[in-house]
Amino acid sequence: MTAARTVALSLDDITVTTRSGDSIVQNVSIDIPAGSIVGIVGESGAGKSTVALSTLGYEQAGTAISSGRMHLGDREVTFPAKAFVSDIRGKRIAYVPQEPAVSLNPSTRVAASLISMRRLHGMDADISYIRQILRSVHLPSDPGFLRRYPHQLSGGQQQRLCLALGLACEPEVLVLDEITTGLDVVTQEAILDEVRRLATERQIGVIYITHDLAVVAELADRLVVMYAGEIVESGPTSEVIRRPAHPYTKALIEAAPSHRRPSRVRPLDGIVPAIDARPSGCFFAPRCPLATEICRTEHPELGDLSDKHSVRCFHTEKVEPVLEPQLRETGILVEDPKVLLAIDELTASHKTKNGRLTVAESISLQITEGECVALVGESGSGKTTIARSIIGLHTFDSGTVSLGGEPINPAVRSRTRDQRRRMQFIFQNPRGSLNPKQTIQEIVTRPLTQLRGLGRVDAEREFFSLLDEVRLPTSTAGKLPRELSGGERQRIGIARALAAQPDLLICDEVTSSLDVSVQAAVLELLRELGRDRGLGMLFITHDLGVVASIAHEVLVLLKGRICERGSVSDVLSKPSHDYTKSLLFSAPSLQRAADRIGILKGDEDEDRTRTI
Amino acid sequence: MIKWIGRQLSAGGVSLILLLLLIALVIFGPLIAPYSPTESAGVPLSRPSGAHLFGTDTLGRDVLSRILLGGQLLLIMSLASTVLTYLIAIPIGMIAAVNKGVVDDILMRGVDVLIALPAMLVLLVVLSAAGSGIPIIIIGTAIVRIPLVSRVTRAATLEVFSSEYVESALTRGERIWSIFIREVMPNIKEAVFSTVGLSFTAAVLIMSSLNFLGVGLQPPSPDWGIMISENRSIFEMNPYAVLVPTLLLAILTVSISGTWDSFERRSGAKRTKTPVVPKVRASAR
Amino acid sequence: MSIQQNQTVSVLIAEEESPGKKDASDAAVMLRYIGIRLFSALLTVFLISVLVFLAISFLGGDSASVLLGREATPEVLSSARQKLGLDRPLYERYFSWVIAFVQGDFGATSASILAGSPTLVRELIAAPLLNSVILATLTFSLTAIVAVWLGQRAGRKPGSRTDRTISSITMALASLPEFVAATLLIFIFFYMLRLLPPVSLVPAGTSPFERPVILVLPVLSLSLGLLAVTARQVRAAVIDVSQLPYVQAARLNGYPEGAVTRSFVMRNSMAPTVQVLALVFIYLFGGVIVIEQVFAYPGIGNLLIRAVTDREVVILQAITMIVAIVSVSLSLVADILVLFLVPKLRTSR
Repeated sequence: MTAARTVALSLDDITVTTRSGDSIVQNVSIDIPAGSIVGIVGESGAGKSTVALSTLGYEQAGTAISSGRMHLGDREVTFPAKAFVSDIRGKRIAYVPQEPAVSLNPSTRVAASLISMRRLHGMDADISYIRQILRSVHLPSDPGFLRRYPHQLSGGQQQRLCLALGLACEPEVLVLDEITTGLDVVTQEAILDEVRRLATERQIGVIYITHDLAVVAELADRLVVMYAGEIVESGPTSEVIRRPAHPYTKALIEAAPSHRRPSRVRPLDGIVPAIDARPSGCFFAPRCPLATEICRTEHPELGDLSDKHSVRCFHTEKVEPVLEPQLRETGILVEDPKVLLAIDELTASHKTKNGRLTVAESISLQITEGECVALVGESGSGKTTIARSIIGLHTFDSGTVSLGGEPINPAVRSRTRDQRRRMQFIFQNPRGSLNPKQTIQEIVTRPLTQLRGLGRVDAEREFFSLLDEVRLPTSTAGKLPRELSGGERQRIGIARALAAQPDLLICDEVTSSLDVSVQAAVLELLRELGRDRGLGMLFITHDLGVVASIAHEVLVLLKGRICERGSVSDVLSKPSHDYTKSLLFSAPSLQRAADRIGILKGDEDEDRTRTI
Repeated sequence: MIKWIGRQLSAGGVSLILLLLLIALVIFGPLIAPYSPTESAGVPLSRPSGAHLFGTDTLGRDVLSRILLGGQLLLIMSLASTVLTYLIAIPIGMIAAVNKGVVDDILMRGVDVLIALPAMLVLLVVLSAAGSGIPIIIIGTAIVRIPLVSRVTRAATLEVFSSEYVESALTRGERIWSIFIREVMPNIKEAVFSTVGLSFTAAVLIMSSLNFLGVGLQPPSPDWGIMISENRSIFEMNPYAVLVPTLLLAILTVSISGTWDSFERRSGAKRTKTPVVPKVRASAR
Repeated sequence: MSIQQNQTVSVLIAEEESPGKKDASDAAVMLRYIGIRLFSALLTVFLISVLVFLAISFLGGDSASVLLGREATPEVLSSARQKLGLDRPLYERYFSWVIAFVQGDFGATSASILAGSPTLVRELIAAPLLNSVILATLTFSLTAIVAVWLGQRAGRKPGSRTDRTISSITMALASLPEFVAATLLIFIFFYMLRLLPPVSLVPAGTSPFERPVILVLPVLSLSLGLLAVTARQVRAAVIDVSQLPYVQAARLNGYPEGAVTRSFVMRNSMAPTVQVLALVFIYLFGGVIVIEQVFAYPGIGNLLIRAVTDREVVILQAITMIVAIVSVSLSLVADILVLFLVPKLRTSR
């Protein structure tokens, strides 16, 4: 912890290849200064976790760190390293994994795991140190807690314990791999605070890996943006967020929904190329609005804009400033809208070992034509059960669900065909909601014949027009779900729902498993469909940004009860319930990060912040 | 030597060739058998000669002829019992998965009971109670395999049934049989069929053991298990009468499971080509 | 999946728990678990007793007529039935059988009753049972040690040369019928090498340990198949555990490979291994029946086959029940062991 140490860890020209010779990650160089946080951002397939693991000399099955060097203090490691020195892992560089629940040894108690870690690296394992480590991550240190097993901890505590294990041997570098994914925003905020404090107090160099730009924008000192296995831009967070130099960074920022005011997201077309299908020129060229001939033939090098900011782009001077989020219409566009769905005093419960557990209580809501109602809540708030009760997959205890003014039977089996047709469900997980053995055509055609009684010819014609409507090529028809990307699968889920010509869509966390750019496209598609077809929509989500980009009306759920309801602008700008306030406060936001930087740095380029 | 060839080809390839050869032997054997398998054909206990390639047994029956016919009934019965197992077990498993009431309870109890007793013991009870006719042997052998197969079916069905594509079908109001045929069956096929090789091997193993013990097929039926048992006492005089059926049984059981195993591994590899989670392994430390 | 998500109602700040009554509820969790298992074990034994009794009483027809043959006159038959107690109603016979069984009275063989000098099944069974237990225990100990070692070796690096070799050999061995393996071993060790005896006779009133050499081939032929089956199961358990994220996390925390194997992989694959071993012991009895016949070893398997051929229902019933009780108790013991190996099962949330 000497102040003289400036760079804690530096990666130099790291390349990781598969056995077949394709590179997963190529020529990555990153410096991590002591006491600062470097964020690595990218969508799935960017290679960010591979980079993180390579700092520990760890190679995933079928891959190898084929070249590069690493400096850790006075230590130099040249790859490929025959024997990676074990005193680095855990002792000098600590890794905190993504899913705490499955990353802790289930048969080791809290204290034992920390003691074993310290002993392993030849450090004093006195219980007083263990207590101190636990306290440093704000975990209890009483004997009862020390004796607990991982499954007896809450999700947040498990992640704190992982963090404590990482800190146990006082490392110089901490590698945090998506550590808050899956935690609710309030817990996430607390963990992020911890990270920030630890970095400064202990002068640890932190690598923070995430797909969520908003998280690192508020946390990191430097940002490294990765795309298809290489760094496309790296620089101080403030500069990268305020004035991105790479079109991909800009697109990523614009695609991220903001929960501060109702606004549209800007999707980015296309998908990240597969490892063995990367184009010969710039990897981003196929999706880039600025791409020219040179981008398609030559591969750009990482060039310096300043001594701190570098970018891999031929046309960086043409990259426009980030557009302010485009405000959107928050009123319902249908004239004199009829009420489609009315839910009155719905109460639902689950059977558990200790009797029935009520997960939703006295829920009342209405959805009219063309209206999107968002139901917001953390995992366990009962939102999914409400959705499933409405569609008829979960038998609720009391209350009524009325469709078009008529009460309908709780069980889907006992509803009429027309009732089933009028209400369609879109599932959370696009991988799980499509039968892996059926072709796309079979999947989408089924509701056409089943619910609308179309003949084969009509069904086929309608199928192709639906494909077009969700913007998928006709070649998709004969494919199996596994041949599609996540975003494409979710479009199929939407097409299947539309096939029934429903009045109402119930969307259960439909974008939570998608990358930001893909999420933006799906959100926009749904928003337009709702507008053009006058569909009513119940949108279940935990993400306030998603709410801001699609909903008209918002209901906030807390432990199975609605704690706040109102129009989207009111709830986002003038929350009344404490819970809503804490959600809004804890949710990371790019805009807030940018504003905060703006306040700190003054108004260098004022024009950027002006709404367009 | 077999191992050396194995390395040259592949364990699966060799198994398949051996299995096909054996099946050919079982099919065409009876056609080329020189003597009746049950009638005396020469001097008892004669050594191998031109007239009797593998010699004769205590009753003067031609060992070669008995060997050529000795696998037929065993294979047919094993096949029949395996088919029966799946015909009964698959519906039971699927129904138990969906109807989590009485059917499931009864099934799980049945599994408990049958797991608590060795298959051989269950069969001895069944055979001594119902007599040792061919249908009884087939049914008995099927019964001891049913719990395992229906449990695999049940688990696979449960998994498919909790999937969102089945829920999607439910929200369309699809009939239960339509869900079984369209959604469930195609998706549990692999899990259920992965047990076929094991079930078939087990059927062969159990039936030949019953025959050997003298409680299955009865002498003078030509059967490899019976032959091993009845000719053990004349080993010194005519070792072929014991060794050849023993080796044939060994090759049969090993080649069945070898073939199935490699078949499984190959289709398994195809299935996991798009891995959900990359599997991690230690680095070159 | 989505149902599960809703089952735990998350509290806004779910970080505090009341530590006070933790221990008490842990004990409750354990007792509940053991209680459920115990009940299920008793139920299983009860069901087996009913099934065995019914199977033999109904399907088996009339043991009196079987024993006396077709020529017996109706008068002789009915007096035989009376002697055997077959004229009483079924449930009465069941209960008297169960009550006697619980008291250790397994009845007498039908033939001996008719002959007028009852031979007690208990006495008939005692010596063979001991012999079989000796055979089974020796085999089990050998199998358990070697198979767990082999399975661990193979599972540690799936797909490696060691794994492929172990897997192919165990696959071949696992599919060999016991009597085929035994015949091959006899051929090698007796006819070719003249090293070991081909039969394992134990004169009445002596113990197999007086000539331990007779146990070698039976134990060996039983072990081969069993070992293979067990090793494959242990391998699968080890592979399952090795692929869990916490094993990767351990490596990333700097644990050397040996420690990862010991404290993470082996520790957590112990529970499935214990369960496999319990199943294996049960399976072992099936092999014992066959192997005793091959080697003419005087155990319960041998007795069982004689009982089946002689239609001695009482012996069959007694042996089946003893095996059932032993195997159900073994699974119960395994379940309780697992309870101690898996903290999640014995602690409250």
